[in-house]
Amino acid sequence: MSERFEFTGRYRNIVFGLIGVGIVLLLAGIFFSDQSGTAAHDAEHAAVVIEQGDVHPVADTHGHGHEAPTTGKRILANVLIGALYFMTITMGALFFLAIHRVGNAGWQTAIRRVPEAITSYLPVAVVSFAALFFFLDHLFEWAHLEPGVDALIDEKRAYLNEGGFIIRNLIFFGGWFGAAWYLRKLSLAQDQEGGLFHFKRAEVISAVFIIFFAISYSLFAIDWVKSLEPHWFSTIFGIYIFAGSMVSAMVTIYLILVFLKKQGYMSYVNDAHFHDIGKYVFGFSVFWAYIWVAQYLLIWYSNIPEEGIYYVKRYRVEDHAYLGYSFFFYFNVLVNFFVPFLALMTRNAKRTFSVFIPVGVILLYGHWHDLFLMVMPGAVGYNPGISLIEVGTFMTFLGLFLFVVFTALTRANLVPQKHPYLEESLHHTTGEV
Amino acid sequence: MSNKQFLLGKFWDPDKLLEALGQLQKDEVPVYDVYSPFPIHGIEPLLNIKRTRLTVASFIYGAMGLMTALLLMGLVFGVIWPMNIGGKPSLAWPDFVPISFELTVLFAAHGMVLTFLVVGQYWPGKKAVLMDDRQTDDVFVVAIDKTRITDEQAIRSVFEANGAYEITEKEV
Repeated sequence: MSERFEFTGRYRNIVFGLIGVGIVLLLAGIFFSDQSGTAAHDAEHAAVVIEQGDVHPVADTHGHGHEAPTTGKRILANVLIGALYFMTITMGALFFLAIHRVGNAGWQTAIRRVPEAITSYLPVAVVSFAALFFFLDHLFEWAHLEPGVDALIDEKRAYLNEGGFIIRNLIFFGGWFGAAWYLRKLSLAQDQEGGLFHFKRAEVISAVFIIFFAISYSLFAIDWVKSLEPHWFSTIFGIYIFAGSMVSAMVTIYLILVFLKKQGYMSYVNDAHFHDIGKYVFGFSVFWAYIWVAQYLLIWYSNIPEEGIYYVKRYRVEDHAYLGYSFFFYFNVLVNFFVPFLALMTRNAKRTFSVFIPVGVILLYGHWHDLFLMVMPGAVGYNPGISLIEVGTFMTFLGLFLFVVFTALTRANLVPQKHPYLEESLHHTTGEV
Repeated sequence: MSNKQFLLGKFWDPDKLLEALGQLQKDEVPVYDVYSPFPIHGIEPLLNIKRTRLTVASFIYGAMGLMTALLLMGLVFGVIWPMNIGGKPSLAWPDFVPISFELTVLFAAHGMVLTFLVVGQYWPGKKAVLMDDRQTDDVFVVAIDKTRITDEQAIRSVFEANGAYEITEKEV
């Protein structure tokens, strides 16, 4: 049983087209950018009135949600969103591989080359983050505020400083890349040699990776997303990012499998495999909503200014001129929870491509929307809206991601031939009726 | 309970039983039921069992639970007795979420269990139908209602050909 994916012709052109059009749109967006929000920004400088206990910005400096809305900042924030978006999908796929190996799950053997191919995007994701190391002081308030300006940030400087930030992130990236590279190597070596050696070794690597991942992913989320709001406290933030990554990783695996199947590959992947990935998508989108509510509910109840600032920036409705995210805030829950919850509830919806694909695309948009809502208020301030810069940056990253993943798919047999659980996976069923 | 005469084929091996069932389905023999110590994989299509509608019932119960929760909280906190808890508005949605969730789950779970009991005709003091005393231990029994069949001998030979260790009759 042997099958190889060929990444040629039309699809190669489409992927390169995505990158090309993305860059063109990005440049056009920079050219046409109107610096919207500048008037409101100036107005805030003029108004020096600071009410007691108010979260309005400090008038004579930047920070506290009051930023100079430059196009450069917006592009940086978009690059951060794009880097985060595909890093989270990659890590979701890597976690999928590790957790199923540790759990001795047999059903996923037939499809595991797809998450394996996704993890080979990891080096590119690391490079995109490494590029952002040089722009930390443009993205993060704690990196560009002088010591002595903000007492709360000064208290946190023992952890939030550029040197520590870069060093610990390099350690995280190194650990993840090592695990991804080694798991892939073991899986490919097993195709050649068979036996149980690689299989058992992968179990050890996966177990160690999961422990490392639990800690490092949470710190990664705190560093790259939460520290955009350095005044904010949330103890559940790492899980929140994790929930979003799992949803979008599962949707990505599902959609790539559908694509491969429509091309005539992977005839041995049956409805039950799709059903199980669909269950993951449904379950993790509910989990995402659970974490979303859990994070918000406690902050809402206790009503402490340091915690509330994050939400005040995002949903403040009585003052529409403030940052303008309130529609985005509620729309986020609609696309990430209510749509998949109602649409994917039945068994057949998870198996029917014509139902799942639209919902999957909505969820993939939802993950981007979620990241947009996490990054933009802290990094840029005023809601820049979704325009050419956002679309262009995302398309460039998407093209890059698809190119790397499809190229990785061509590198190996689509069937993990000598995997001990292959036979079980080929007969996988979730019930006939 | 009405007294019915059943023709019973008893098997040691569930795979043999599945083969016999396949043959019976081909001959269009109406099978009353199969009694087995554990669920047998892939038996549903052979017994012409349709997909359960319990999931639809569950959704309806869940929706009822959600409505109950929202109605109760809305009436209490919005109309009958608005309360000031920690300075929060009395009709705010965030604190409604956990209770709405809990009642949805409670109604869906209990509704499903009750529906299952009613549809399966289990009530307190119900006498168990035992085709064979060992059907909960290690014997697999195919029961066929004798009033609904014409050619009994053919069925007996199907049982025999597929390795039934005993073929009996029983009145229940």
